[in-house]
Amino acid sequence: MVKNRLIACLLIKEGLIVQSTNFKSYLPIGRPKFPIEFVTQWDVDEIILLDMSAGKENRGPSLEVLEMLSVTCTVPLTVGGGIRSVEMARNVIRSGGDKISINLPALENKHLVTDLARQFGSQCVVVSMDCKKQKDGKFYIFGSSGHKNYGIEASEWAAEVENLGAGEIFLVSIDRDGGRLGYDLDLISSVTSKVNIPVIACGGVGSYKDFSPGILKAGADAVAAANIFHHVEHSTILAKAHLLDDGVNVRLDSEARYSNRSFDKFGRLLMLDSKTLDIENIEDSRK
Amino acid sequence: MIGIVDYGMGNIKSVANGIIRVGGEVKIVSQPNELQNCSALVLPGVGAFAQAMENLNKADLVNPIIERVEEDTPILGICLGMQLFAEYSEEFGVTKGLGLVEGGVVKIPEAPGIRLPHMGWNEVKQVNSLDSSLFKDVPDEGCFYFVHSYMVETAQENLTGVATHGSRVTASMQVKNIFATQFHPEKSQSNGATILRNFVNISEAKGENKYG
Repeated sequence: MVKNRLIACLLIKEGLIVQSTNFKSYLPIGRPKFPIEFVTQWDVDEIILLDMSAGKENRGPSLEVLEMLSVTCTVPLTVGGGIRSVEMARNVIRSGGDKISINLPALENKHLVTDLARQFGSQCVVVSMDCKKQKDGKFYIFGSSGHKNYGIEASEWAAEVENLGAGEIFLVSIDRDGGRLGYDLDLISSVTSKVNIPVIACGGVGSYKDFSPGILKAGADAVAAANIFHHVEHSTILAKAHLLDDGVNVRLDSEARYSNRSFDKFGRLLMLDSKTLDIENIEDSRK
Repeated sequence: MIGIVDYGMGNIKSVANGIIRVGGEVKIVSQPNELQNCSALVLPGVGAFAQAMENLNKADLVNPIIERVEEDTPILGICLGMQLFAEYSEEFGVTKGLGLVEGGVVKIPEAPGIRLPHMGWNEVKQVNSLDSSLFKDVPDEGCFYFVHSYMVETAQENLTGVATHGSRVTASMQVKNIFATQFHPEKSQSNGATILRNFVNISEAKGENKYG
């Protein structure tokens, strides 16, 4: 069986990786090279790299940065930000991207989804959707960093892009972004029930416990987050330890598995006392 | 020197990086005469079968590839590259392939609850592979990254690995000096690195049983 995936979403703004809250405020983390190296070493299944400045500056993602990053990236790399033509997509793939993520250009030019699928195959085309709940209780597609309501329901747009040739949907809740309240399960369910292509849930993860409901309750194939993976050692391994504990079928090749460890209510690893550590080390060395 | 065939369809950079990471030397080749100087070839590929064949034909690469393979040069096809080895593909109508391996490329059968493309990490069960040097030191049922909707259908004896996605999916095959993986070793972390290192070893091996 194909495994569910844990995806790290890395946001680049003006050349730096940032944490984002509600698409409004941004906290810089640092240069892109290191976060990518970290999560790759820590068994992340995929990386989505979004250049948030690209669209506004009317350019594609920086190919120079991409070429540098692809050297150490041993997992699939989806790249997004300002890609609005087949030619730009081709350059991204040639520079080390494995998949293309498109958001607004898909809304403005539906043929682009089909053209990209024809050129590179559906599996290469990820349509990213930024969604907000409106007063009528339905979820709508928003653009321009969450300012413009396109008046299209998320589930309808998802079904349409599937027909146009998209291979995957990257579903972002603007309401939950950076809010640490967990995924918007209603939003995810409304989309996963409408399409037959994989759906990646994103937006709202505040604790490692927040990942598994996206898969088990809302039917997502992959779960993504951004902010939570920064500043914590083995962050993506810890996330997978929680997923496995909840019965989600994810890959964990790492030697560090944290399978018998305790966590606090925020999902942070509780320390062992020195005695326990000592015994563990002795047992390990006997193996 | 391993030549990575550039025909405008592949994740060339990722594949090159993957081989360089495990100590291999690579050259990106796009001209027919450049294939001559390579000790082994890699045929990567992302995209649609028909477009790929069209590009290979336009670049006059079809015959040089076939000739090199017939001269016993090891070749590794990755993803679409694997599929191109087959005789034909049913993707967007029937298209003729390189015909290096008997069999065709068909859509993965649809089944309830099975999403296509088959995308993500899946376990590869090794079959007939006790003697496949490509899988040396790779754990049986180790995880690899797949992303595809079509797969090669070929004789059981050609298979080296299978995965399950609803039904059985061809994960890898080998016919003498022709190696192929449907999954992406260059994107499959340490297991993938082992596969690529094995292929580098194969490209450097000499003498009898070098593919054994």
